[in-house]
Parts: sequence; structure tokens; C-alpha cells
Amino acid sequence: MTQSDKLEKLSLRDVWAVLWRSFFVQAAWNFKSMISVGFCYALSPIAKKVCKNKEEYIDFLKRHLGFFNAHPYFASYAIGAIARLEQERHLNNKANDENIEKFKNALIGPLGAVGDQCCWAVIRPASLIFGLTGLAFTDNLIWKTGVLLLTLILYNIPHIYIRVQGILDGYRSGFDVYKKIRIDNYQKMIVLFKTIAIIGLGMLVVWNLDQAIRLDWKAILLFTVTMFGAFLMRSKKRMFYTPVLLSMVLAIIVGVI
Amino acid sequence: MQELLILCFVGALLMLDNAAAFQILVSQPLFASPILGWIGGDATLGFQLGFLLQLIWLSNMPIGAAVVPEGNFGSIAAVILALRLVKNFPQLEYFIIFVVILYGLLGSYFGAKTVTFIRHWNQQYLQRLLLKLKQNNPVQLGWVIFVSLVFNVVVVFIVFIVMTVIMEKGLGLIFPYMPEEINRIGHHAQIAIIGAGLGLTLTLFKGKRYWTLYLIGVLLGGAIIFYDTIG
Repeated sequence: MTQSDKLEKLSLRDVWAVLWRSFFVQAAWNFKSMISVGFCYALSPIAKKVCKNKEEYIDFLKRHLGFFNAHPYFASYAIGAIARLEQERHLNNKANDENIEKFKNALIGPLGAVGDQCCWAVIRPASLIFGLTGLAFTDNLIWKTGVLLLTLILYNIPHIYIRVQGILDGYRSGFDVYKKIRIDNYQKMIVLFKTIAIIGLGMLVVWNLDQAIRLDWKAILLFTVTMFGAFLMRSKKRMFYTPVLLSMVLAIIVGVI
Repeated sequence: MQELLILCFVGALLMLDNAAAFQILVSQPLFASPILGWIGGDATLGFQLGFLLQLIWLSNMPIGAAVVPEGNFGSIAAVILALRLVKNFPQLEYFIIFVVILYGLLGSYFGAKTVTFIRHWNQQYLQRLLLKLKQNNPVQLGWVIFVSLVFNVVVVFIVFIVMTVIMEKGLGLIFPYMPEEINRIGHHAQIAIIGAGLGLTLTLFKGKRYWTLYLIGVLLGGAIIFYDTIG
């Protein structure tokens, strides 16, 4: 019998318990330990299984409340992997406190980078652009509400998938989980969402141009200037407030004259 | 007053989705505004504001642990104020939209300060937990998470109420003297905001390799508008 055979498999109940808690991973976010409290909370069903007494549980909390940070969805990979390593630590000392800590620290960078690139930079804006396009091209409130529900589903399918897959892959892989945390593994999803976003943006540009044409020539000019102005200011100088405030000032000028 | 309390409470609950819990997207203006609109009795205004505010904040990404302007916070505060003001001054609706968008930008700054305050409080709470563990007393993490969430809701709720009452009272003194023609600014402001929002958002997906997709979008949008016009 190999060492890994002794590992108790995660039951559906365990996965659900960890998954549910992972939704609160940032609940007690703080500047000292970042998401460590939420991370510990997500791991607590596993800790309660492997810790034989109160002292072991306290020791577990002390070790994991130190410092940890990750993208909130991709933190699931670390949660799954640490769940396995904690079991191994108690079973056969294959994993010890020092290498678990080193491993956790090594995961912080990749989990944050891949999560930001995948979710915050693509999936979230793309889903929201889908919703915005739907709202722009529908008139009645029932359809608009339907569009929002569709947007919610579109976003949360990959969101929940990442969380569940993270726990399962992390648990299966243990120390090898870093192989799974690569942006290439999400390329198909990224391409699909980018396509949705860009087509949606094209549609929104035409829609607003049409709105401006219906108003007057000054509105067409206003739209063109604000869009290109904001694009250039953001691209060249990473400005955010200035283009928005300038567009408001221009709106006042055009509205008054 | 009861309506204000309900709106601020729902707004504070929705703000949990911003970072503290779930993060399923409902704290984004696109969702939060219509929800508040339904509750406040003006869903149309909710959808309209959600659309505009979302476009402004779409390009703003939280990177790592950085505290960024809290666009969702500012947007929810803006929608609550708009629902209150439009009820009292319906003749100035378009101008009110213009004013609350400016207020939303200001609100995002207060939002960032509020988030920082909550995070500092969480840090103090963590110190107490660590002390308890040092004394070999176990801690109930479920309770810790619950307390953090409740604290989050209470703080955001109070800030929303204070901001709304101050602005409502202040603007309530000026608005009765505003002529209806001022709505013209509001009409143009919507075009300008969408323009600026699109300009900011286009920076997320720039590069020659995307031009074909943009063209498909433009043609598709044009075809739908053409079909609607002749229909």
C-alpha cells in the first residue's frame, strides 16, 4: 500500500462545505494577514477531520492565520492543495510545517496573477459588456431583467467552475498544483469572453452614435471627442477621473450653448 | 425615512458582494442599480443609472491588494440619492442624473476610505484572535466571519445614510430654484458619459488583432438599429 492510498478522499459533503466557505474567503480581509482568516475558515472542515484534539486544531489555526493572499476565486486551488497536505502531514509527515508554509508563499504570486488576468481583466468586463449591450438594445423592463439574469449566469458559470475545479485539482495535485495554475489552461475561456466583449463594445459604439444622431450634431461631436479623448488619456497616462470629469464639463458647455 | 433606511440597508448588503462575500457580480452598478430601483419604486431610473455608472467603472480593475476607488460603493450611493431626489423633483430628472454621477465619483473616494477603515478594524480583530490562540483558547472561525460581515454591513449602512441625508438636504435647498431647461445638460451628459465610458473600456481590448471583431460588432449593431428603424 502506498502512502497516498491512505489519504481519505474528499466526500461530496466535504467539497460542498469547503466550497461554501470559500465564498467568504475575503470576509475578514486585513492589511496584516490579507485573506488568511477566510482561507482558514474554508479549510476548517478539513482541519476538524484531521486534527485529533483541541491542541492540534489551535496549532493548525496558528500556522494558517499568519499570512496568505490570492485571487478570491483562484484561492480554491490553494485551499484544495493545503487540504491534501494537511492530511498528509497528519498521516505520514510527508508534508511538514516548513514546506507547507513555503509552498503557500510560492502560490501567492501565480494565483494572484492568473486570477487577475483571467477574471478581473477579461471574464468580468466581458460579462458586463454583454449585459450593457443587452440593456442598450432592449426596450421593456422584462427583457432588460432577462438580460441581467443571462449576464449573471454567463459570469457565474466560469466563476463557480474555477472554484470547484480549484478545490478538486488542488486536492488531487497537492504540491504539483502549480502546474494547473497557468494562464494557458484558461486560454479557450479567455478567447471566448474576449470575443463577446469586443463584439459587444462595437455594438455599443454604434448604439450611442445612433442616440447622438437623434439628438443633434453637437451630441455627435461630443460623443466622438469624449470617446477618443478618454481612450487616449487612459492609454497614454492611465488617467481615470480626468476623462470622466472632462466629459461632464464638455456636456455642460454643449448643454448651455 | 423608512424607505431611505431600506435602500441603505439593501445597498450595504449588496456591497458585501464587492469583496467580502460571494462576488457573484450583484454589487456592480449594472445589477445593484436596478435592484435598488425596483425597491425604490423607479426601476426605469435604476436601469438607466446602472447602465451609465457601469460604463464609467468598467475599466477600473482591482489588482492584487491595492485599494482602488470604490466605484460600486459610489454607484450605490448615487442611485440611492437619485431615487430620493427624482421623487421630490421629477421635473429635473435628467439634471439629477448628471448631478448624481458626479456625486458617485466623489462617493467612490469615500468608499475607498470606508473599505480601508473596515480592513483596519479586521486587523485589530485578527490581533485579538491571535492573542486568544496564544492563550490556547480555540476560536470559532464561523463566528469571526459572521462578525466581520455584520461590521461591514453596519459601517457601510451608516456611511450611506449620512451621505444621502447631507446631500438630500443640501440639494433640496438649491433644486427648487432650478429652471427645467437645465435638463438639457443632462441629455448631453448621458452621451458624454457613455462616450467617456466606452473610451475607457476600449483600452481593455486594444490592438490590431481585434479590429475584425470590432467591425463585426459595429455591423451587427448597425443591422439591429436599421431593422428597428424600418420596422
